[in-house]
Amino acid sequence: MFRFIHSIILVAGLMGPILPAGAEPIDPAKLIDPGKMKPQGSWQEVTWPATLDLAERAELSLNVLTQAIDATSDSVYSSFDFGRNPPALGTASWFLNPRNLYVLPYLRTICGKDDRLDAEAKMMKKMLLQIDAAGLVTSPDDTGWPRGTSVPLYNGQLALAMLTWHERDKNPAWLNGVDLISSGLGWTSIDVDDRAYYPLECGFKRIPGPPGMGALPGAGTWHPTTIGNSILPYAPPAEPDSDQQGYEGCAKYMTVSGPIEALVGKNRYKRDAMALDRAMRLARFSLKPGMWQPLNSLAYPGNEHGVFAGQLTGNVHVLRALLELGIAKRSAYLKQFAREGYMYATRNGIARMGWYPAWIMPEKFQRPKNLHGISDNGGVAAMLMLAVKLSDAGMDDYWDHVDAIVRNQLIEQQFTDLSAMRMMAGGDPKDDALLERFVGGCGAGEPTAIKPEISASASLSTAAAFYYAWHGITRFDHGLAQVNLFLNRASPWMDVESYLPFEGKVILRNKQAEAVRVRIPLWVDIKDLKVMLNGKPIQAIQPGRCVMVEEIKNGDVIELNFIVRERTDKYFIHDKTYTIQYRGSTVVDISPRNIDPQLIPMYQRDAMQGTKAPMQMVKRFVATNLLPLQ
Amino acid sequence: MIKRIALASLAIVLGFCLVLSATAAGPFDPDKMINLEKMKPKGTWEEVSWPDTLDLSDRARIALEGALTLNPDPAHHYIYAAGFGFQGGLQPMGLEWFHSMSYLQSIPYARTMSGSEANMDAEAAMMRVHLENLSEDGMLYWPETADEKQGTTSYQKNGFSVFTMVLTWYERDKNPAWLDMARLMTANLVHDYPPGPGVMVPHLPVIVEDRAYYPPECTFDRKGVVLTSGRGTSNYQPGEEPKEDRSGVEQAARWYVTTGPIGAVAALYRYTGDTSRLELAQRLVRFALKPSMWYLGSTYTPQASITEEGVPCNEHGMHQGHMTCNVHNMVYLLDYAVAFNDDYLKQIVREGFDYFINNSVKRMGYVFHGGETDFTAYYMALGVRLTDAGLGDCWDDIDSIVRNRLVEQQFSDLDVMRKFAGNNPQNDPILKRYLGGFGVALGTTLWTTVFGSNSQSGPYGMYHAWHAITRFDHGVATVNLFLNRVSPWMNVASWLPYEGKVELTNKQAHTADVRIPGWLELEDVKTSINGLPVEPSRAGHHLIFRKLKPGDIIRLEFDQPESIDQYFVPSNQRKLAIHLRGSTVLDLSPRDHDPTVIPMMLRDHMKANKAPMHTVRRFSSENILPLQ
Repeated sequence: MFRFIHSIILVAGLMGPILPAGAEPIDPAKLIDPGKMKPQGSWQEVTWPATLDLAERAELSLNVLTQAIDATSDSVYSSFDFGRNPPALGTASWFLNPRNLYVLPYLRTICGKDDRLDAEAKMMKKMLLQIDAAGLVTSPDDTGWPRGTSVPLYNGQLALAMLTWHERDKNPAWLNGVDLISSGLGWTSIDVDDRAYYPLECGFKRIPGPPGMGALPGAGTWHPTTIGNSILPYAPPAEPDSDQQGYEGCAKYMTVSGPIEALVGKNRYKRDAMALDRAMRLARFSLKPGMWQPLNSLAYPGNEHGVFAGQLTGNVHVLRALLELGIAKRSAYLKQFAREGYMYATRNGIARMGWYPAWIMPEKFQRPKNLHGISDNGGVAAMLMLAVKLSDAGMDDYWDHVDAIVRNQLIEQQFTDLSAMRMMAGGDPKDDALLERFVGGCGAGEPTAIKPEISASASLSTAAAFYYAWHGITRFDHGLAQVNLFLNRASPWMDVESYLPFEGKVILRNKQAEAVRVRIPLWVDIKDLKVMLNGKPIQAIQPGRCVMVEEIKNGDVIELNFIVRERTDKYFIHDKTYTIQYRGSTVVDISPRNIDPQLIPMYQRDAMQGTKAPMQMVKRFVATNLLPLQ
Repeated sequence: MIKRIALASLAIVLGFCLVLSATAAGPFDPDKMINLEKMKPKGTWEEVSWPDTLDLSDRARIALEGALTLNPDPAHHYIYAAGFGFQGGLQPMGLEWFHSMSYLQSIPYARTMSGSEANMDAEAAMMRVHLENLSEDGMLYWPETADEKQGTTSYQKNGFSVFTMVLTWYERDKNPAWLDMARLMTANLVHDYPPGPGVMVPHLPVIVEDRAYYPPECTFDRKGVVLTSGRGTSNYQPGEEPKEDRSGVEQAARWYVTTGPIGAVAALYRYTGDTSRLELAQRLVRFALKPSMWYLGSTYTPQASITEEGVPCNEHGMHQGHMTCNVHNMVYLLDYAVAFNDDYLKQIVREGFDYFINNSVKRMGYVFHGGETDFTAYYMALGVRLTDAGLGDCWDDIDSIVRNRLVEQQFSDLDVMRKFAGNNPQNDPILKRYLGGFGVALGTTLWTTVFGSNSQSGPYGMYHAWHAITRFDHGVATVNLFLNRVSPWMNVASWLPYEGKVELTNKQAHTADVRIPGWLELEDVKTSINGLPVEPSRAGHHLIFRKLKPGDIIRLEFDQPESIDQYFVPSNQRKLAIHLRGSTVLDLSPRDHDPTVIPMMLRDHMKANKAPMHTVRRFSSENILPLQ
């Protein structure tokens, strides 16, 4: 089963950082500075509408992502089942740590909290010590992956986390660490024709070279995961030929998406043509016909148009990785590919609700049919993140999709109510301490109800998606504030206060901008829009679907008023037709409901039927170091 | 409910009859409606020295001075020829009245773009024919037998007339009588016929449950006698509710039943706030959204058409069959959805647009299996309108299609037509009547037939792109497309694809909001004003230049990515290597060497790195007609 891999001189350029065995490649003490991990910014007290506030959501995510950790191994628990008494913890899984470390700085930037920084630092330290001299992040134990092996997916994810940390403290040593991991991703990949791959769901164990010579390039063996078996036949280290191979059933994602993102991420900071070439080889593997649907309905090949089947989450993450590569390589082909994949995914869900199936055609690949009837927040989050990236890249405008996702399915699949969790867990007070650690976690639900089980993966993706949405609410450049989403946010240049869905009102309080450009959602009839500056009606200038107000001063208040229309629409999801009530883009009710007592009902939104937004006084963090979207 | 519609209709019709009873020939006196002076495009001329690159105003002029005004036959009520082949000789086809009202929309559009006053008499005469054949009951009857029988009318075409010719002409001269005409024609979309021989459907539309339909491909004489289309053998039984979209000769029941009337109701509402026919439109939309009116998927029942992936096609705009009719229908479903704030329908249309993109080589402007300009043009129109409605940013789609498909489907070179027609100088007068017309193309080649339908839709699509190049509102100029255009507020000069350079000459704007195409990274764009480097604000993928003064020249310079990408093209049944610079296709291979068709995209000259320059007169239109 194990095959000795002879690597190729081609990757010699990536070998520079490889050190002799035994040397410590990264000194965590030189990288981790608890003082610089604190979010930078100030606090302000605001009286705001008590409407969706991603800062609150992020704080809840921070709760679970800093507490759902096994203290012994400093590793994230893979799951938490609180639909049983007592609740059951999943496996502490070191390989989930990279994504945890990637999102924690994001969450702190949103909510300003510095709680449990020590846990965050400790986890990063542990991960850094797992990086060997050859640029491989090695498994510290046998959880999921044989001890001492290295999994390219997680290596890539850790590199991305290091880039986020670099943005937080600007310590250039992080970039050296990313270089090292990138070299490992390069020399462990296996070249076939013009492409490269990693054996599916395998860890790589390198064979040390002669004393003083470090590792030989490519020398090592691939060992399969112990998490699960491939449902479709697959024998490592062969090149996968179907995306649905592997226990996850998403070969592209499990092999090359993380490495592509890491190599492209590295290139963002240090232009590196070789890293991009390697990423292109990995991308060519991901674009093989077997990795996509053979043909879509009108004879266009799926691998040219992003048409896929199988797991939605993984596929959408791959599309984002390809988009990033397309931007880096100035490849309109890849960018358009990612856009078309997104279009296809949209069609498989309900864009106005932010609902996307966990799997497309699961039964075709020997998976349970009901995977099409549930929505994994990992996939929902992935859709949001891709939508933001596509919009930012000028590859269409998907802010309304982002809005629909974040207002509806994404937050509905976050467990925010301790009392509901307690009830599902049997109501034993002794469980409270444990349950509290998991408040803010996320799962996968049907359209109207969700299973009481937290998935670390969904929680991590959701947290990242919160940041993407929050980051997109408003941006600022050279005196111009752009507002993309009608969601609450305090920022150094402008505060956004949204009264949706109760009232059609958004207030912008200017702090630094000379002009503001506001994107108007598709559901707002622009003819009805009224704009006021400091209480006086003004003529709204309309470039495209935006409204622009120029020559504004610090302290100016811009108010937008519009009609929030109510609609009732029907959508067929999986096996039944649902009636969905909307106010603007917010789902306020859905039926028929699944009243299974073992599930937690979603969209309990009677409170949103009011027409006057409740107000509240809260403290909000104004981040001054906005981390870029990695 | 039916009675309510009928009574309202009757009242409106009676009102018009009373008001207009003094008019002898019809409800609207052509002499009072047609004013040659007001038909002239309003604006000024400028002489500009700019790159000799794609210029839609020139394309519009070629269309206007050729096929758009010369194909309609003065000897036959200005009915146009359905087609004109010129492979190895001249092969005129029969007459077709079907799109005549659309000619009367595209001609004003082409004048607005080009400023040309050519053949205004023909345009006026064409409108006169329509006015003279409009009856007191608000129905437009065919003046002579062509594709449909003389003396019959079509509800579909009556609806079309409202938002094509009637309201476009209103926008040109602001004569309120056009609005009266729009009201009358829309009101009469609900019609009763007394019982009699041949009267199959005494009340139109036919009401079924919560929906309504007009029998597709049927025309009606003044007594309501049904006549079926002479276009071919139909699988549709007149009078019945169409079972599927594939019902009828053209197999496009959704289009035939709903497009014109829905568009008319939405358009009338936009202008007058009139909702007297809203219920009619709602019923027609429900008909249009029946599962059977869309792709039937892999599992079909009358209640649901589901794809292999489990997607209900009618909820997600998935369609197959007659692609032109599908996309044209979606243009006016969107119009309705925007007018009446139907977010559900908006999303269906957007996803329908996306479904086309998934079945295309979008970067070469090739969608589904190639085909006619009608599709290309309506698809562009849909992209523009979706973007304007806030349903996305489809400007790059428009750009790809106009650069690589639409202009290639236009017969703009008389020499090429001469060559295929046999190089006989005696052909010239006839060939010139069809110059500037549009045709049908597959992946790499264009058929040697100018089609009457495509010749009106080409300029319609072109106008959508031209209209969108730049817009202006209260001092802010928006630039969406890097294509040449002169406007009263700002001129756009594009050196693409030769050079990565675009120059904006400001006239009136204090702010320019410039969209940067998706194939270009913002960080790669160098910007200057009057030769001095500037750093504009970034807003998404837009650059915002503020505090502009009249006369300022904004310059954007960038490297254009060049690539050869491989795409499978179904009509060619093979992969094509597509050489692109920026969004412009420079070459394709392998090519089809069939001598009976015209090779497309012979663009070796565009591979140069220096744009040729020329000095030309361009029209700066001051009355920009809205997109109808």
